[in-house]
Amino acid sequence: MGILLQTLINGIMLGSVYAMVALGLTLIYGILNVPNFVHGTLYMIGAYIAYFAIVSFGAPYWVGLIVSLIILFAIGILLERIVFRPFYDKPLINSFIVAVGLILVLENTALSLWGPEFRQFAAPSDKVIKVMGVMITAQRIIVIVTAAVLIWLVHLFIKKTRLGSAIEATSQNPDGALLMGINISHMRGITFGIGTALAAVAAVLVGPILLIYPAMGHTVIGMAFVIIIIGGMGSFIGAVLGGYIIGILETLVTSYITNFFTEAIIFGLLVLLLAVRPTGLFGKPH
Amino acid sequence: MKKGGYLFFLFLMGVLIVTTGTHLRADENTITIGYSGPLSGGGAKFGKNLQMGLQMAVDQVNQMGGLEVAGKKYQVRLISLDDQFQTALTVSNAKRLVHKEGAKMIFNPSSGGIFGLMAINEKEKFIICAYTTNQVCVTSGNKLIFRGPPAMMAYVQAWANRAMDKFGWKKCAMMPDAYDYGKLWSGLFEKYWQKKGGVITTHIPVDFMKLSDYYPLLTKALATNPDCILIGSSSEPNAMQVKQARELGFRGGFIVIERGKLEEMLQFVPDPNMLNGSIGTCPLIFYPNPSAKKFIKKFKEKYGADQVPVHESAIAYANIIYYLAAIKLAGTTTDVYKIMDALKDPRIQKMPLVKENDPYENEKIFPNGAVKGRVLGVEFVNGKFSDPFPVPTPDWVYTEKY
Repeated sequence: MGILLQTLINGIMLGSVYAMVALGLTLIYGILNVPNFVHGTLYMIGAYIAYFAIVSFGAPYWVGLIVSLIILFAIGILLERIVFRPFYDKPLINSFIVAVGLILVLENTALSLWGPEFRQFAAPSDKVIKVMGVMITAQRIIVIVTAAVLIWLVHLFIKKTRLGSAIEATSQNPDGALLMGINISHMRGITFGIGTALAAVAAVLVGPILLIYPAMGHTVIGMAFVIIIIGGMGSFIGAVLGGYIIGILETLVTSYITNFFTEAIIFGLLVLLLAVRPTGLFGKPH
Repeated sequence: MKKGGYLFFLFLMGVLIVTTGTHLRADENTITIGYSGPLSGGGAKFGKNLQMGLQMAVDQVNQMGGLEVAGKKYQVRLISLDDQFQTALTVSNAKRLVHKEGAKMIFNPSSGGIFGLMAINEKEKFIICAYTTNQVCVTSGNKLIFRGPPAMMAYVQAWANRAMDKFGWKKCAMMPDAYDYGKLWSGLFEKYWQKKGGVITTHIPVDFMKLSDYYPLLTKALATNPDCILIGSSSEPNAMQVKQARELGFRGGFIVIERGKLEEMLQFVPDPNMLNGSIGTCPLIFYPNPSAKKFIKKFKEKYGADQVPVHESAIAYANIIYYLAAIKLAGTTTDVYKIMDALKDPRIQKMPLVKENDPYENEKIFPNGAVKGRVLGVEFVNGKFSDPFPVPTPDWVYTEKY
């Protein structure tokens, strides 16, 4: 029982990270129609920025998190403006290649600037709490709670604010939104910024638990794509639920079956699901 | 479309600028040493440590005016290519280094990569300098290979003996790395541990190239109530494993496979006491022999006083020194068989190049290519390192198949 509970908590922690990364990805896909492969690389850069704020400049953890959030928001807007915008009326393959090219550029830049070594910043608290035979560190609670709060805030932003509604309208029907006087390019930029900032927050939250290195985005990006495909491309609820489901599933498979075929099992699940529901769990048919 | 193509071209240029370096061209006055190793990805630190040692040897020889072979002076150059520990890349890198750059020796640090190279090296006439403790590479009969690090079995037995006889551990959970090396190591360990009356409570290979949270794996391992855990990734992932095991309430010890370095792990745990009850290789900085001290001094002069040299750098350095000494002794830069013979020639230990520089005072190189040197182990107890203890290295651990 203790082990099952521990496993579930481990899974929720992992799921929180996946949900945040996948949410950013799905927002960007929903509004730009671009499978943003560079998302995992921006996740890595978010972690490095927090690292430098916290370790090099001695900022407190939460300041590091906010600095990283703001900078990555700005980087997201810039990337959309400079790199992706010229390709909207071009075949999809162009943006795809650009995204892959960007991964190489950013990752190699990170590698040559910051070196290949692993880095780490400390969690705001080292406390370990024991509840019902389950060990959980303060940082893991922070990850779970912050992720939940942040996801809720993004939801409120989209549903309750004018700007959020404009973003949603753009993702539902860009032409309609344009006719209603919404500045679509503006919305695309902001969405890219928000999506990227979400990835940065996920990276900073999990930073003290994992290690920071230039290739750290690889593990998370593949899974994030699986999640948004399972959840339905562009679906908010699909990305969030999908994130938690995959996080818990991956942990359960690792703990009870094997840590070798987790990816095969999860990708197998994806294939099965798509055979039954080609649009994913929450995706709308085209 | 035009604009897109232009931008894409810019990207490609960017990628090229970032990923390629400049280096000397080969000519008949140059000895080329090829290195294929993990220079990016999860193994990059390890790969860089090796590269620093290789480069140090090359620069040192060039600074002395180059290497004189049969009355002619040669400059030495090192060309490094990234393979991210992927065997297919190792092999294509090696082909490029041999055919395009004229390398007669390829340095590689992974069991998988070395096996890949062993399939082609005798045909394509290049020497493999194998950075692995894997025994198969020296017992397979390949004539063009030499291996720098000690034999795996020496560590397996020394660590197991220490764990049982000194600490009284009986139940061990094995969490080695998921690749060739970890499989071999844990396989040997399991056999020896059980022969000594120990129990393996579980075997959970860890894929440290896909680094993620260790809680799920550790939860599973700790459920078997082990006295100690065998861990086998590189230092930083090891340290995360140790830290998380402590967070989950584990109070036992750690047997650290030699790829991980206790002194590096120490920098990644918030409290040194987390490492209490760990057995591993003795940090190079605690090696008492003067030649090791001399190496450390030179290393710090070259790379900065805050740089702490590790065995990867020192062994890689020693290997290049040996290789260049062998070229000198053989009197040829191209005949790989003669160079191999010279490596195993007992006179090589007396050559000034080797005698003045070899940090390990290596005793000899066996006919199968295994280098026999000085090996020390260490324990971490009460928040600090114990005195080093010698790891027994009888000849059979270098020569026999196991």
